[in-house]
Order: sequence, then structure tokens, then C-alpha cells
Amino acid sequence: MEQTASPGTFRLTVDLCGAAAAWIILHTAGFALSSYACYPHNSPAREPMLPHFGLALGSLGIICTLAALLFCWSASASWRGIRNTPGARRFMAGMGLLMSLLFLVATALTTAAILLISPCSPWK
Amino acid sequence: MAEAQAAQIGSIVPGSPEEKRLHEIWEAEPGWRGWLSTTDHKSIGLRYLFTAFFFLIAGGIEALIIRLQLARPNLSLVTPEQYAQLFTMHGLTMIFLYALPILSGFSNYLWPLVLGSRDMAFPRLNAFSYWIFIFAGAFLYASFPLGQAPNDGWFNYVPFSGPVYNVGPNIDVYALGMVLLGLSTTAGAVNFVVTFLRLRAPGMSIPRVPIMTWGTLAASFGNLFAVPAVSLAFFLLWLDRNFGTHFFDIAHDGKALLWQHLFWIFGHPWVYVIVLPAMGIVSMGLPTFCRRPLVGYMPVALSTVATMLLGFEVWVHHMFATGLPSLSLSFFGAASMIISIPSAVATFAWIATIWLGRPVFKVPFLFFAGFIILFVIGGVSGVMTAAVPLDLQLNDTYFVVAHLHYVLLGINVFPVVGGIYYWFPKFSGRMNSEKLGRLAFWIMFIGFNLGFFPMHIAGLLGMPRRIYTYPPNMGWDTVNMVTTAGSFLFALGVLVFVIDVFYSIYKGAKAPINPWDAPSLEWTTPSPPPPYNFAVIPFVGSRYPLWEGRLAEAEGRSRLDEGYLLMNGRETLGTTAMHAEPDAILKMPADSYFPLVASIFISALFVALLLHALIMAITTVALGLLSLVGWLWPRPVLRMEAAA
Amino acid sequence: MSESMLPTVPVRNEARLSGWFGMWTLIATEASLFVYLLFSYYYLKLQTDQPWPPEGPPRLLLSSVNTFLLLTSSLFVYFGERKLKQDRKKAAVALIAIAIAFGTAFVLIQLKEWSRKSFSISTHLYGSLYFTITGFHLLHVVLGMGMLAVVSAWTAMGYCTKSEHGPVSAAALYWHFVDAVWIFIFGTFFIVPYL
Repeated sequence: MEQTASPGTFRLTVDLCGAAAAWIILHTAGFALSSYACYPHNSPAREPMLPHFGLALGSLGIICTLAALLFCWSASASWRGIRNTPGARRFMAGMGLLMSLLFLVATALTTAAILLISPCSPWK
Repeated sequence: MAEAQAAQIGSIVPGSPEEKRLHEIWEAEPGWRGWLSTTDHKSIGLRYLFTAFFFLIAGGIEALIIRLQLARPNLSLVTPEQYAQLFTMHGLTMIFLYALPILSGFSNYLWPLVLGSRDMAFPRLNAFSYWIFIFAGAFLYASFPLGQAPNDGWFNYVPFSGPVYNVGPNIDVYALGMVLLGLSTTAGAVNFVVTFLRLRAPGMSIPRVPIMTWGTLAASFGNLFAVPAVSLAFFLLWLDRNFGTHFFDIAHDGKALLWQHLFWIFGHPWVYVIVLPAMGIVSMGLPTFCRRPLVGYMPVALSTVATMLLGFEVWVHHMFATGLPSLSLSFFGAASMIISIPSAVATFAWIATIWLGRPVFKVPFLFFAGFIILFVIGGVSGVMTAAVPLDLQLNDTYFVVAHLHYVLLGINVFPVVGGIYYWFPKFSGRMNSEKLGRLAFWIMFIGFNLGFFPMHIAGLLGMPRRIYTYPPNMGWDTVNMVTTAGSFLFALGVLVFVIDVFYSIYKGAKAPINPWDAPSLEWTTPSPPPPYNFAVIPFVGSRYPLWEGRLAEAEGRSRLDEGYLLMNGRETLGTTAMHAEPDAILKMPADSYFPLVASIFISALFVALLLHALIMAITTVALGLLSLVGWLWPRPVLRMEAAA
Repeated sequence: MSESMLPTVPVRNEARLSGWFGMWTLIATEASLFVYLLFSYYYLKLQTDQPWPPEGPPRLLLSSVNTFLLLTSSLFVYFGERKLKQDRKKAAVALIAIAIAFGTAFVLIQLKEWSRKSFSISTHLYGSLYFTITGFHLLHVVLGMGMLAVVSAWTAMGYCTKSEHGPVSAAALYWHFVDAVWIFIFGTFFIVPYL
């Protein structure tokens, strides 16, 4: 049913989960850091209280976006390798490709939020 | 390692001695004994459906009283305290006691039938989860007649629900009841996950899985990871209220927002838990009436999984107005926008299925098509509230109430009613009345939109949610009157539906095996199915086993009349998770009282905790654990050697 | 798979039967419970202005002994399960019994540690968190010991055997999980305050 040249189970799992993991890491870490940096104790701060906050979060965003891009590329390579052999593995490869694309968009949008929006609420 | 027992392959003719023997093996005892001890997934599924529908009616009556109170300005039909209890009970009934349990009813009944198995992976755990559900429902309602029901809204924010401002037993009942209900939800989730991984018919590899199971699977995974958050939140609140801990106690460095985080970390995944299986019902039923397979099976399956995953990372959009820093909010605004992508994929798949098919306008089709319209409206208002600045304006207004009702009624109630119409022949062996069904649909659809669309306007006009009454000069009179009228019309539609169900159970025409000419395995069994579901375990060769003759794209042939003969006691086939290759014969347990006994003791424990009855608590824990040991006690009939 | 080949199915090793999958799902949901408990701890700790822990960092001796006991007990359970798979029932029961004894010692030491604290669950926020989180874990240890006791009794009675080790494997899995959770709790309450 499967050809020997088709991607292995590990590769398919990585294709499926990689971009999503990049997004979840960026989203969770970004939320935790920005919430703490701007509201460390019982009163809000005007500027982030953590050193190099913008640089750190911006780099994390760009790294995660690049990682998601990499997973997309990997998933599309897997898909191209298996698209003509019907079966469960082809299905998983297709799922992996769609999943990577969706979470690439998610990671890019989250990074855009980091780069565009001032971290702490200016009205406080 | 293996006591080799080869499974025989063959076929069983209806009415043969073999079939009779299967019947005897799987049938529940007659009378009340069988009723209390049965582990048949079909009985449990129907019980779930009936009980959850009963709660829908209870919650609906509460809603109608609320609407009467709000029909005109300055009314005082109920007192403010009664009003608070009514809207709280309405919310928690609909969200916790109706919305998921009704979907569990569908899944419990249908999963083994659509997957080609004889029961769920853990039949007795299944019975347990039902008993706990009904006891938790009774527990949550126990204080209502005493006028002491939960009164802080269904999301129960501190500090009002804390020990200082809410001194009665109201919130303790809610807290303990929710922890108890969480056990039922978790048990159900465990069962669905393992059934999916393990009990599919041979040949039903991942790409051939019936589309509805993806929704329940994603929801069950969601439950495994989300339910502990709310159980913990309620448990910590109970400690705060009863043992002087300080988790949410601002005066001692506790944090009110911790409640909101824990609640919504659960709460938003929960929203998808109660809509994804319902979308699965539509994805399953709609193609039958469009006379073609679902367009985009893989993208729809993927969007189900992706929605659940994204659903875990959007909880803060319930907290946009809490003063969190703007970047923190933006993360969740972005995520809440992104989650509309998979929803849109599914919506376009349904529309394309109708577009490319030849729709047959039967009653279930009407409900499924109505669902698509309501989902689009609810989805658009959802994207609106996902934008942080607009949400700050709309937060805590009737706009949000309108949105959540469009989403929950549109994506849950309409598919559920459509699903009941779709599978009614299988459930009851009778056909529904097409006339009454159409009438019910149009009354419900018009009543729903008449009732809930004006709520958007009320919200834009600034009417806050949960207010007890309002003065006449606010410009809210007309919208509220229309909403009340619409809600009664909607209730009338539900009544017509209930009448149709009871009428058809007794007077409906006898249903054939496959009245809708549907493609999936449940339509190969008689209506209603026998206790053993399938005389032989079918072999599945494509995604639509009953449409193989006419679909060009069908990649293989299924074999339904000949397959594994498993009749040495209760047996079904275990298959591998990915390719569904035959892997093992699974010995299924006999009916048992233990699930009922264990759930009685566990529920009694929660009563003891509520009453601070220490001795009762210790006794019930001990008896509960003993009954679990009894439940799990190794039985020779389940052992492999005995089977050889 | 083509339609001409429906293989005959042997009854297989019980280790991968439904109960084994079920135990993994139970562990998944219980693990998330502890994730939420520790989330609550760090969420509250990061925002407090009070000294943390209020009485200064806790003493390490008893809890280190406890960590050692619990991790060693996991080894005994691991070897117990292995002995059963090698059809050496008596050794299996003995090893699991040792693990239960270590677990009992853990519980007793933990109770001793609790009684030495100068604060209670209602004294302050730290007290609430400390007793609730370690209490949750203690409850899971007791539950795990109960499971081990039941399955070792079943082994002694001949229900669990080389080919029927499913219950033992499931209980062992749960016990390893309970021990792994302790590492995070120990780190949170006893190591992080020194950093």
C-alpha cells in the first residue's frame, strides 16, 4: 500500500504538529511575558519592566515564523512525495500540509501583533 | 504471548440459531434489573438524549420566565434574587446539562454503529458516566426549590461568588456539582478516545472514518485537557468558601483574575466541545440529502482538529475588559480571528455540498441548512467581538448575549433537532411525520431569528446583559417585546417537535433499514438495531460503504454480510489505530450494577462534602473505592485462556 | 488490504488492550490537573508583593529523603512488572510490596513535614497553595498505592500472570506518573525558592 520513498511516521507527525507547536510556544510565551512585563504586581506599568523586552519578543516571533515556514516547506515536500499513493499516510500528509499553512498564518499574524502594537496600555 | 484463538470468518443469516445466540449473549436482562445494569451503548445513548432534552426544556422554561420579566419596562414578575437564580440556572442547565450531554447521547448511540463495532471500548464506564451525569444534574438542581440556587451567572465570577458576598449554600452547590459533573464528562471523553483508536471496523483506516466521529474525537481530547481547569477552579473556590483559603481572596494577595483564567481556559475549549460534534452531525447528515459525498472531507476533518487546538488559545477574549496590557489582548484578538478560518472552511464545504448536489428537502435537510445560516450570523458577530476595540464597546451588552445564542442554538440545537429527525428511524424504528417536522422547523427558525436578532440591536443600544429590569425611556422597549414574542414562538416550535416525536414513536410508519438511502454503516443494521449491532463485524473498503456501487471515487469494496464471527461470549474486534488492521479479539464485559453502585457512592460523597458530614464522607469514599475494586475484579469470562 | 484477505486474528498480549489506552487518557487528564495547579501557584506567586515563602525557603532534608523514596519505589515497580512478564510471580509481588512500603514511608514523612509547618492552609496564600498542591499529590500517592496493593493481590491470587499482566502494567504506569509529578512539585516548593 505504501511506497518505500514515502515520508516516515516521524516525519508525518512533525509535519502535522511542528507549525502548531511554533505558534503555541510564541502565543503562550508572548502572552505570559507581555502580561508580566506590563503588569508585574498590583499596578500597571507604562513601559515593559523586563530588559530588552521588545527585542526578545520580536526575535522570538521571527524565529517562530521562520520555524513555521520550515515546517510548511517540509510538509509540502512530504505531500509531493506521497500525493499519488492513496491511503492513510497520504491523508496524514495532506492534513499536515493544511495544518502547517494554517498555523503559519497564525504565527505570522501573532508576530505582526508583536511588531506593531505597543506592549503596555498607553491609557494607564 | 498469544493464546492463539483464530477468529472465524463467515456470515450469519437473520433468524438463524447463530443469530439467536448472539441475541441472547448481548441482550440486557428484562425488567428493572436490566434497566439498572445494562451497558448497551444504545440504551445509554437514548437515556442521554432523553435526559439532556429534559434539561433543555427545564432551561427553556427558565428562559421564558426571564423573557416575561423583561417584556416590558419596570416589571417585577420575579424578585431580583429570583431573577439572578433563574438566569444562572438557565445558563448552567443549557451549557452543562444540555449541550454536551445531548451530543454524548448521539455519539454514544451512533459511534459503535458507524464504526462497525458492537459496543464502546468501556461499556461499563459508559453506564457510569451516564449515572454520574444524572446525579450531578439532580445535585445542581437540589437547592433550586429551596430558593438557594446558584446566583452568580454561569461563569460564577469572584468576588461575588466568594465567601464574603455570597453566604448561602448557593455557590457551594454549584461548585461541588460541577466537580461531580466533570467526572462524568471525563469518563465519557476517555471512552470516546479509546473507542476511536481501537474499535473501528477492519479496513476503516483514518481517511475512511465517518466524518462525525472527528468532531466528538476532537471534543473528547479537548475535555481531557480542559475539564480539570474548571474542576480545579470550583474546588479552589469551595476551599475558599469553606476552609478559609485565599486563592481568590484579594485582601490576602489572592487574585480574582485567577478565577477568570481557570474558568475560561476551560470555558472556551468547552464552546468548541459543544459545537464540534454538532457540526459533525451536519457533516454526516447533509450529504445524504444532497445525494453526494461531503465536499472536502479532509479539510473538514482538519478544520475540526485545528479548531479544537486553536480553541485552547483564545480564552482571554472573554477577558478583554479586565485591564490586561494591550499586547496581551492582541495575541488573543489575533488568535480569535484566526479560528474563523477553519470554521469558514467547514462552512464553504457544506455550501459546496449543497451547491454541487441535488438537495432533497426533507426535514433533517431543513434543519441542517438552517444551521448553516445561523452559524454564519453567529460567526460574523463572533469575529466582530474578537476585535479588541469593538469588544470593549460591546462587552457585557445584549450583543454578546445575541452572539452566544446564535452560536449555541444555531450550532447546537438546530443540528441536534435535525440529527434527531435524521436518526429517528434508527432510534425508534418509526418514521417521523414530515408535515409536523416542517411545521416545527419553520416555527423554530422564524421564532429563533425573531427572538435573538433584536438582541444585537438591544446590545448596540447599550442594554447590559443580566439586568433585572429597565426604565421605559431607554429605547429598549420594542426590541425586548419582540425578543419575548420570538422566544415564545421558538418554544412553540420546540413543542411541535416534541409532539411529533411522541406521535411518531407510537403512530409513525415502520422504518425500513435505510430510509434515507444513506452511505454509512449504521444504516445496514435493522431499525432499531439488535443488541449486538452487527451479526458479523463488517469489513470497510471505502469512506461510503453503502454508496460504493455508484461513486466513481470509491477506492475499494466493503464486505458487509461476511466478516468476523465473534460469538464466544461478548466479543468485538480490536483494530490498529491508523490503518485499522485486525489486531485482537476484545472481550467485552457483561452488564453490571457496579457502575450504578459506584456512582451512587461517589455522588453521596459530594452530598457529604456539601453538608460537612465527615463520617458520611469517609464511609462513601471507602464504599466507593470498594465498589471500584469490585467493578474491576478480574472475571474468568474476560480472560484470554477461557476464550480458547 | 484487499477484500480477498481477511486475516485470522489471534488473541494477543493484554498489555495493549483497552485498559492500557484508558490509563494513558487518565494520566493525560490528571497531568493537566497538575499543570493547572502549578499554573495557579506561579500566577499568584509572580504577582505577590509579600515575601515568598513567608517563612523563608523550606528545609530540604525530609523532602529530599522523600524524593529519593518515591523515585526508588518507581524502580521497584518497574522491576516488579518485568518479573511478572518473566513469569516470576513471587518476585513480582515482593518487589511491588517494597514499592508500597516506600510509598507508605513517603506518606508518613509528608504528614510529619506538614505537622512541622508553622502555618496552616488558611494562614496565608502560600499556606493555601502549599497544602492544597502537596495534598493533591499525597492523595494521588495514596490512590496509586491502593492500585498497586490491589494488583499485587491479584498477582498473588493468580489473576495476573505473564500473559495477563494488563492490570499490573496499568497500575505501574500510574505509579510512574505520580512520581514524575512529584519532581515538579518538589522543584516548585523546595528548589525554586533557593534560586
